[in-house]
Amino acid sequence: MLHNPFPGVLEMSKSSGIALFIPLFWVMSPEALVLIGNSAGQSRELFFLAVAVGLIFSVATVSLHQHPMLPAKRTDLFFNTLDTLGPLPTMTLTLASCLSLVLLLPTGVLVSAGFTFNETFVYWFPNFGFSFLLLFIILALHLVGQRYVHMAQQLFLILCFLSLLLIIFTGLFNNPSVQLYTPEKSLDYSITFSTAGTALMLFLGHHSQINSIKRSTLYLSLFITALLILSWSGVSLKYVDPVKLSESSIPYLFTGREVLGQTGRFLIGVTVISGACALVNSVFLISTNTLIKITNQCAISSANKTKLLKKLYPVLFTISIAAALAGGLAGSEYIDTYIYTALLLWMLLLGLHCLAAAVQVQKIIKAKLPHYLFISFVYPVAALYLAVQHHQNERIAILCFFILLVCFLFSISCKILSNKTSLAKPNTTYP
Amino acid sequence: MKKIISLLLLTLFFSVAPLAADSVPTMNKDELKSQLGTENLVILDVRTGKDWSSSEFKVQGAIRVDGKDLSAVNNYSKDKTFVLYCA
Repeated sequence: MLHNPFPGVLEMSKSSGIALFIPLFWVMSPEALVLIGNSAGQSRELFFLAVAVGLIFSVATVSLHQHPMLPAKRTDLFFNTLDTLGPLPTMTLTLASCLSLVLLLPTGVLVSAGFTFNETFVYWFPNFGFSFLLLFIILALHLVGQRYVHMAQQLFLILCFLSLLLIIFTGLFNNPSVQLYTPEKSLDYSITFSTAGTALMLFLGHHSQINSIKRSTLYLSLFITALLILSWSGVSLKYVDPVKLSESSIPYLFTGREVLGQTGRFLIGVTVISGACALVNSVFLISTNTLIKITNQCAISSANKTKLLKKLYPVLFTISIAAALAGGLAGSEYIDTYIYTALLLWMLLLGLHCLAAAVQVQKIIKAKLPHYLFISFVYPVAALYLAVQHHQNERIAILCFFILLVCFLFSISCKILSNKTSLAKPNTTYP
Repeated sequence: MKKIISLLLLTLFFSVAPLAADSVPTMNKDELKSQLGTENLVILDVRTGKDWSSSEFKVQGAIRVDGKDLSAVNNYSKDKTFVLYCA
């Protein structure tokens, strides 16, 4: 029985194909669109190649996690990693990734959505007011029930996707009013690895869905993601000066404006707001399910309290994010660095999951599979390289250390607690 | 008794501080717009984080500075009008 953080999505996928778009919550978010714009502007043709490499790695990662030799119970990344690599590394990194993502990413994207609403649609509506409004709407959805969470998620994703698609098609089949002058400039190939790392990062959303979407759908979704990134980058480079794209904090807006003028601005507004909602909604859902697994492991809760926890955790997330917004975290000069740190921890977690899956596959088929082990090392190496290359690498290191330390201490307490209450061993806690 | 006095002084300080801040004049967007382009005007964009990066609107000619370090104003003569754009 697959553990499914999106109950019903497999059934939905047979009728509506929406499962193809569920993993796109990350790549269509404002944060990812900034990464795409900056990378495309900085690396130009190299970025297209990097995206192709990112796609290949992501397909290989999915094929590893959904290897036909792995029994169904081992497609749950958390439980498989827990059983294979032990509770301390699993819970430490899972908690670190989960908590940093659920606190920092929504804080960033909600503020982006707030500013977009204020500056594009309704000038008199306070930008932070709109951020809080969106946050409470997402919370309300989670309190009302998962059925509404999924329905809203479909709406957010479709709105976002169609808005981007409209700009892409218009951009592809028209020409800019002013031909861009591109001075002869050789590419700086020293950015090759960081470009590749960024491209790999853009596919992270798919790996959070490995438990719940069948392989063929995930492959197709990865392909759609790659096409989306490539076409969006292509249109951006066609209409906007690469230097401007690489340095801007809102490259997506320049693209929308240059392609479709004021209509493009409105479409980008829809993209940013619906993309922010899709991201926050997904992160809430994924983090809630992850924390339920962790707290069940720690004997802090039990399986019969799941329904309550599915409402409690979103409340706790909302309070934390609201406190962060009210406390001015979004206005901190380091917020983008903090968000980047959360993304790097996400990559590290994926590397750990890949390692666990590679170890299990090798155990089952009783053969060495160096290519699977290689995949599991690509993610942490890429994350480390991106961290070192970042202009605020010290701050990233300090934050990572602090988050991992706190989560490590929690994991130790959890282990002590679960030993004391004599719960069943990890490999018998599969759902 | 000492604790009460300390608390009272602290309360007094926090009451006075906003009054002092009130003495800094503010300017609305129409007033600023009418002065844009004049030689005497220096706009310092002190927004940070998402306040700056998410905003589409960057004032033309504004100089981006760290709000905690306004030493950039030393580069200008004191008869200029300095506008700090913070939100």
